[in-house]
Amino acid sequence: MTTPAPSTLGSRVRRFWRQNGAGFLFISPWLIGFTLFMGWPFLRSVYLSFTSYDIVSPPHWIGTANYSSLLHDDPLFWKSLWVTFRYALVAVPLTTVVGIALALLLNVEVRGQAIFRTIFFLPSIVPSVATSVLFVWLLNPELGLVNGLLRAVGIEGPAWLTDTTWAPWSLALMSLWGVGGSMVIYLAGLKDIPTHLYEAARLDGANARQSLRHVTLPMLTPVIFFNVVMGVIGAFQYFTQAYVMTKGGPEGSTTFYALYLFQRAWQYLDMGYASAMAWILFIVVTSVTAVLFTSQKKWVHFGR
Amino acid sequence: MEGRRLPLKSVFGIALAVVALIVLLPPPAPLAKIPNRKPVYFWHMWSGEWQPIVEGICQRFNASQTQYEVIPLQIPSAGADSKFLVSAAGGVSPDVVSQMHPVLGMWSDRGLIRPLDELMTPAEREAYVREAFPIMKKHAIYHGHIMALIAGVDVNACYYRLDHLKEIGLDAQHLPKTLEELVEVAKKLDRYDKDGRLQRVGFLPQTFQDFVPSFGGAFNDAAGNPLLGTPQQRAANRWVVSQYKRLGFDKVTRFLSTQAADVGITAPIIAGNYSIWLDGQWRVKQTHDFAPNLQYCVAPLPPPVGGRPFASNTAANFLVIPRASRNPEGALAFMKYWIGMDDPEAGGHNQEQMSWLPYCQRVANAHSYQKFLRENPNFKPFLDMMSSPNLEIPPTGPNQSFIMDEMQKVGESTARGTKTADQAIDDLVAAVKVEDKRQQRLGHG
Repeated sequence: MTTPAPSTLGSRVRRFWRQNGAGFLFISPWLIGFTLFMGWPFLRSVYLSFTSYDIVSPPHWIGTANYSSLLHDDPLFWKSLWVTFRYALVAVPLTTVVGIALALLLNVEVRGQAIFRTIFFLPSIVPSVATSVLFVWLLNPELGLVNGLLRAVGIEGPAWLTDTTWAPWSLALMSLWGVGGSMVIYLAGLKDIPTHLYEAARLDGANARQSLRHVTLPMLTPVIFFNVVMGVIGAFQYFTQAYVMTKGGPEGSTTFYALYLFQRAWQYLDMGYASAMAWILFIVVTSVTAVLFTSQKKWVHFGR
Repeated sequence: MEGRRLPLKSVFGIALAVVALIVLLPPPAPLAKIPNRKPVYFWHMWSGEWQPIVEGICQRFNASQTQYEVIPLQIPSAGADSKFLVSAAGGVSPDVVSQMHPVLGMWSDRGLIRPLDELMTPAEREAYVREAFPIMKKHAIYHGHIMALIAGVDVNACYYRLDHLKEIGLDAQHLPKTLEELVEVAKKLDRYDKDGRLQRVGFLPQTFQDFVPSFGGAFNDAAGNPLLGTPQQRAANRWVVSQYKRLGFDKVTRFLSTQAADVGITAPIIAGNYSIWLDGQWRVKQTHDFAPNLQYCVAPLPPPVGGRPFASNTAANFLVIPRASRNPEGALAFMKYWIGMDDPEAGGHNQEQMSWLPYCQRVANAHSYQKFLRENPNFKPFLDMMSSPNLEIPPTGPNQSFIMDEMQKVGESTARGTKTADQAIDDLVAAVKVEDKRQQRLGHG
């Protein structure tokens, strides 16, 4: 004899609510906020990406014209995508290598270790606008500290932010300023590596370099993977520094994708077009992340 | 199970108590201070030394009548446009917006702002068109409609440092008469340090747009549509590039990077980084406030041989009424008060406080404004230029923001020598053409 389905469903719902209701109520401010301010705009932007919409007049359905125009008629779209991709290609490996190197250095037991860790971590919590303003001065070709130091050793430094050749790389180099955030995660990952693996390696005759190559780095790969995924996502959303420091210039050499999207939306009143750009960015980021997830089977070691 | 139900009730209770508390809290103090007045919400971007002056204008307007109260709100310039757009989309926009970016054509075409023709009486429209200086009408009228009143217009002229001119035996009575002569004077005024770095520049053009009117060109055709790639624009850009080339592209880039913010005491003409500097009339007040003893004089940019005298590229500070304004009548009353349409004395006072140029000669003749001119003789050349037909406005139209960004790229490439002058203009024309076609395909054009 089975109980009727509706009462089963009803009792299940009641049981579920009894067990989880308080939890849901506690997180309800976040749930409501997420639904209203993230979920709804997220879905709405899908619709808007198929419309001509200038924020003032009602959206006008134009089918796939925005996407078609982006892919076929807009050289700035491709240029901004390339600027962003190139930045990601340089900044993500750079911050990964430097982050790991710093974490390894700061993992060495020395006097004042905590102070050193704090010093290296501090820059990453400085607001990006403040950092950007600081770097505008540091990278000033005549008055800046960087060229001042180079001049002291007989090198005339470039016009970092106002030279089309150097401006994108200046921003990539500047990404190292925030490396403290990932460094802390690498440090936590290093602490998580069981000491018996090092003991076994030592018994097998491994030196420090071999231990690093065959124990530390493989065991750190899950953390590296996490930081690389986060770094790639962050790189594709790169905006603040370019907006504050270069406004996309000189001559569009630092017009990152997110900056161009912002210009389209708020300066040229092309909200529908900007929505299409946002969805293309979403697809690109998802694809790159998917590639990383696929590749991780070959290089990330989750087992102990 | 009973134990689980109790906390849930408590959660409900606390949540209800919080909601009740929020509901029962006293509302924030109203922005309006004067009872029985219709509020006029006014958004502007004037900060620093300008903000109290703008607020003073609002206070004087509030005191001048009994119907409206203007409530000013200063919006940081960087996010002002996006804030306004969001407010307009939400239908709760301010009643008046002061806008210093060249967006009038775009905002008009998109229906963001109201034509003032709808609100003005026929007599007011007729008076405005009859009285306003030609450059004011160029800025304010878009495709036959008065879309804005111009709170102030920036006209450029040359500021000469008399102490620098003295070094080469010149004075205020012997200023260059042509652009070619200006270059020769400027060469003598350039100064380098021992390593060959520029320490002072005689004269440095900033953008090619500044010189197009002197070369006989404009940025809009007679119908009010953008005009790009003209021979005059090319000539102006070639001339600008020749000046950067003369000084050395890299040297200029490095010199420019040493310049501090160009306001107040660090203004180029005050700091002495330049001997001759093309700038707007507002710099007269800045110089008066920050360097009252500076010896300088002002004269219109000398035209190239065969070019136009009394010519300048200009920028405007627009006063516009958003489509979603709830009090457009009050907004217009305030705007008219600001520029002095009904009360030239009040308008003259407002203009001289901001160090701006009046919209018509009637306001210029006001006692308050004449007193200001007597106290600031260097301001007079700007006023003399106001009736000139050779003053031009930036490109307008639905894509004007895009065009302005592309023009910025022209300036960047020519200043660095990465493109020839003509290549840069060709690229500008091509980019705008592509954008126009694209906008048409997307249903905007």
